[in-house]
Amino acid sequence: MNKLLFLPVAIKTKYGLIALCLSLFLWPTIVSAGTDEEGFVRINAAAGLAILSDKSLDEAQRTDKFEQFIDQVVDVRKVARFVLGKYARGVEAQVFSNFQDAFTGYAKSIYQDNLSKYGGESIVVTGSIDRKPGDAIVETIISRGALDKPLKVRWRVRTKDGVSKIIDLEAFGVWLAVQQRSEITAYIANNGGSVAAATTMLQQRANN
Amino acid sequence: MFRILFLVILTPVFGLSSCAKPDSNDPWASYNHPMFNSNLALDEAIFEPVAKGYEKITPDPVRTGINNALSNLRAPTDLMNNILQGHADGALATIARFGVNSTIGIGGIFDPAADMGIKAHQEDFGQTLAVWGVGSGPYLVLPFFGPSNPRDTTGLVFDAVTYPLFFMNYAGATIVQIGRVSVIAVDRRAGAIELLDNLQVNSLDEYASYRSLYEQSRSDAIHNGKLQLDNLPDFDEFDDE
Repeated sequence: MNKLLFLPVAIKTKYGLIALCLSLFLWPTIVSAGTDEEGFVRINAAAGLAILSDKSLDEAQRTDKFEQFIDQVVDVRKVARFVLGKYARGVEAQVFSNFQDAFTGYAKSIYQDNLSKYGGESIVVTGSIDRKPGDAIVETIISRGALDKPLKVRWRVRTKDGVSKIIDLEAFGVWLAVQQRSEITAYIANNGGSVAAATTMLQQRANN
Repeated sequence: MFRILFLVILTPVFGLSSCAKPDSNDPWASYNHPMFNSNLALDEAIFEPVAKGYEKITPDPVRTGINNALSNLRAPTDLMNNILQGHADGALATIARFGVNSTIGIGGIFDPAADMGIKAHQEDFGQTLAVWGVGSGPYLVLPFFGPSNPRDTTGLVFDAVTYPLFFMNYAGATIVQIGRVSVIAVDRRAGAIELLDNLQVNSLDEYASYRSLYEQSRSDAIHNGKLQLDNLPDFDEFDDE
């Protein structure tokens, strides 16, 4: 019972965190005017699903294409900087670069492992809200496929110099990058404040 | 009067910052971390095996029925807290769901109310206190119960002692209460097997992971799923661009 009194919504849905990752790569079904950010989410969800569903690719080809896709639609540098939290302040450029590579590799390996189980889901863009200029939240509903109930997912989209990229996403009230920041900063704090230690750990995880 | 009394008692302890941004708020970590590890050990030794055994021997439809019935039994708590929060629509929906599911749904085993579009409005007293402006206080890991904070712990106790079965006096009352709590525990643990196994494998720091998940999901529950723009962190805070 000791793990039970929290995550009230997440626990009720079998696919929990897996569904959270799933939301990056699903087929859009609504065509409407919407904002630029809504269009960005709609278009790229289709592209992501197409990669995952492409049976003409072998495992290695799908992985390569998938990783290129992540690099295109996600602002990996911004996310890597964010998940370091206070440890990003004053970090040396090379140390950060190594961390960014390791974090990206780890995240991609998680997504790849979890998302290979899914296919056939659809996504509907229901609206968007601007937090501030260049920082918007796009709201979607994902349904069918392997999901037993429709799932509301929010995407945080950052637009700079006309280019939009995803920096976070939320399901069941949990923002993924916020969650990852909590874990990574805790790991760094437990390892003498060493970002390099976190880098090594992420590399090991990605290779397992 | 009741609400004022609670605010007077709790405000100095928790502060008036209702629903603080989900962030590390853990000054009691030297106590919380060992308690978290103890809870994990207890879970691994007892609850997880029981839940997995329950999942293995109980067909899906039966587990769904049990889960539905337990949700139906929450109605008094949900109703009370919807009323205390001034959510008339939630209170009416709770009454409607209880009525429909208890009758057509055969004691709550089935959920015809959902098919009718009557949504559940789960609320607890911890959420009520938050709506009233009581701050959460620091992160707190309870023995056995797990992640919490002073406000939600108060809510947990309040909901327990105000549940109708708690103060009803009848033969076998204690056994019924223990049985009910046990079934809830096993049902909820069984429902979380895949999620928690995933966390155990993929978490970079399990303690921090649980803390963050708890804080974020509670904030979401308090606001009934509505986006809280003010609570979103600034991604540029530590950027060098």
